[in-house]
Amino acid sequence: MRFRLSLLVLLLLSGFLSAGAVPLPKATQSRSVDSLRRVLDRPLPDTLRVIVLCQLSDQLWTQRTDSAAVYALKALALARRVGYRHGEGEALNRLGAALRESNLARSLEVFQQSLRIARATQDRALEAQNLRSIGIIYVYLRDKRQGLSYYFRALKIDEELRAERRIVLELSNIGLAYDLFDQLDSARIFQERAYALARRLRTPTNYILYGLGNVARKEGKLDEAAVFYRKSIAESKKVGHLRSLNFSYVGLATLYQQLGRLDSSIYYGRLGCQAGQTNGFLRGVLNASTLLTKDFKMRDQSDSALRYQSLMLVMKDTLFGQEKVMRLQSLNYLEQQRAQQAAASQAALKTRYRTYALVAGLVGLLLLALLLGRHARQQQRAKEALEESLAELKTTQEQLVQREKMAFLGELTAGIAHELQNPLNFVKNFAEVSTDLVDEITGDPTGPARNPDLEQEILAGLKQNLQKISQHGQRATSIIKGMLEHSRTGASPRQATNLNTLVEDSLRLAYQGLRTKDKAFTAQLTTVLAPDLPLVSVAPMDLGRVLINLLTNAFHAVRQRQHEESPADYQPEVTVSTRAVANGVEISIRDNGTGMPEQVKARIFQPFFTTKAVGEGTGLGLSLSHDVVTTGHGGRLLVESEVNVGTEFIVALPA
Amino acid sequence: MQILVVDDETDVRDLFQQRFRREIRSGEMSFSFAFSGEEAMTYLRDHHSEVLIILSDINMPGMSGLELLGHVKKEFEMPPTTMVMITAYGDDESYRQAMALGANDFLTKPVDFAVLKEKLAQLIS
Repeated sequence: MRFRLSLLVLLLLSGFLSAGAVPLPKATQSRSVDSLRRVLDRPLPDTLRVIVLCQLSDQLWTQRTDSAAVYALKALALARRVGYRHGEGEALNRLGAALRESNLARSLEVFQQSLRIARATQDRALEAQNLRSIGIIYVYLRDKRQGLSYYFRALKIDEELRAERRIVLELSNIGLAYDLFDQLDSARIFQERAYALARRLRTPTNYILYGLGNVARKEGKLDEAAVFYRKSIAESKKVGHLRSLNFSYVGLATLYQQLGRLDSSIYYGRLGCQAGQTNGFLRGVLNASTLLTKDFKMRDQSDSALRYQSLMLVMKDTLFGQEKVMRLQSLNYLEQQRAQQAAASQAALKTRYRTYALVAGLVGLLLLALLLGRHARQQQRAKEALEESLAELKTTQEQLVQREKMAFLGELTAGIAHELQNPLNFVKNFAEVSTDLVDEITGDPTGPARNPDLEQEILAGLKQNLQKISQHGQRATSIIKGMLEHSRTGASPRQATNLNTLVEDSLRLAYQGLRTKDKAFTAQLTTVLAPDLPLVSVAPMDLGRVLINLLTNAFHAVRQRQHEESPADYQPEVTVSTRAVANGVEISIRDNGTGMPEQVKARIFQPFFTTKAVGEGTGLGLSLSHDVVTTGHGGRLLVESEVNVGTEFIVALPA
Repeated sequence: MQILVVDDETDVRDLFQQRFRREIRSGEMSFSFAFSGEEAMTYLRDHHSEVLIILSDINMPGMSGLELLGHVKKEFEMPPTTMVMITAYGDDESYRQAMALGANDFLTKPVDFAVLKEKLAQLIS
């Protein structure tokens, strides 16, 4: 009986391997190893290559653990070389999952490293993943409290992030943990929740079915258990998941052993053993060989029993040799924690004593002085802690801003590549036809007499082509310039600025800028500037560019309305006003131009969205302005618009 | 042979006129240009019987090339107009849509003019 119990424990223990390296949140699970390898053959940005390597490691983990480790190491090396922190964290997590078989202590260390990166970069998803990975290790070590605590912390983050695919894995792992500690009701509840959610999301249920099979088997519902195991086997085969295949085979074999059907038990046990060996999944091999040893002993086939027993011993030695070490470390760790807790409760106690002393008050001046001294020290400490966390907060905030910017840039890159394609094609094409034209003039000296008309035509064509090449080159330059402005990292220096002056300067610049292009253009300019406006700390260069951009747009809108409808009494008008409000300052730029329909208004802050003709606008102006006002200054850029009435932009800046 | 080129990039006109200089001079081909889907429809309503082939960009503001293709196939059933779609995104989805809507051919940018000439020659014969 004792033997069977420990077998069950081992079997269940192995279930926790299930969700070690989870695919990234994006649905990439369906991508096969081959197609991922093909992706790697193509030129990729390094950051993307790191992620693809991680995904490949995930896929291989279900098939061959050692290959998974190789790709995790590749991803790690590349991420470190290019200084890609998020990728480094992801790669470390994959490495930990692959090492969990051969080196538990190292695996824990690697997960903790990844966890630190996740926390430093505010990467909640990666944090949750590592909490789970570490939880698995503690469950390995049969530390129920620690294991479940890590799982539930992971679950909490996933729920906050609404990461439903990961919630499935947490629920299933929690179910398996309860199963391991024979809390069958809790185990079933969590597995059923996991199953319902997985079905809704159409994600694999191979592990959950295995967990449900275990619960049913322990509750004595053997028919039901067999159905679950078989379903799990079928699904594991379909998705090529050798680990879960091993679990379910061994589960089914255990069930047959319980029924006394040793032939069936041996049959499935061997299949399970094979799956585990192919994958390099030592724990799975151990479970299968333990089971087979017992099967053969029950059938009095001592030679076969011996063969599996020796396999079992080898596995046990590999796994538990290190587990002992780990448990020792875990004990050390617990010891440390306990010491900290003791210190903390002691501190709490001391505080209480201090209060008592104060209440008593009369104990003595000496004691009072001592207490006051200590109080001052505590305050000093509290202040230091506060300053420290403030500094930490500031660093985090800066990282966050930079991360947003990089994410934005990533979004931008595809658009830019496409935007650049058109002007570059023109440059290439006009250069090519020019070569043809030159060939035509110089090509055939023995040909018919010179044709001055044709030569004139060709020369005119050449001149035109050169102009076109220059124009499209200029177009490409301004696209790139716009991008560089977006990516500029170091914020421009801020200074206390009189916004009224900045507004007036910007208005003049914008108006003159347009007048040089269209001399006939005039508009009524109105400025309503609040005289009591406080100085505001802004980056004047950046904000000036925003204002010029908004004003230029306003001029374009009134000019367009004038050209399109030219109602007799239409007078183009642009009004700029400043006012002090409760928490800061607002600048309003209002025009009575064409206005925008709702669908245009909804997209104006997207990069590369433009309503202007090709070549006239890069479509970056407003998105850049939005970036400067919100990210750069912590303000808001608001817009109101109505077709054929006008548009108003409001730049709201905090004081 | 009259060919209508539809693209929101106005320089496409100069480019085509130069690339097909010999064909235009010999009277083998003549080109007209429209810079939006809407403009192309207006032009076709006036000159429908003259235009043999339409070369249209897909990604244009306003009426897209695919919308234009749909309108042309609906409004000018006879004689059948040959339409060749051009896109900067060589994705399968655009290709599938264009073919489903009845396009005769599909090219991706950057356009290889040697290939285009060949295709036009084929379409004429």
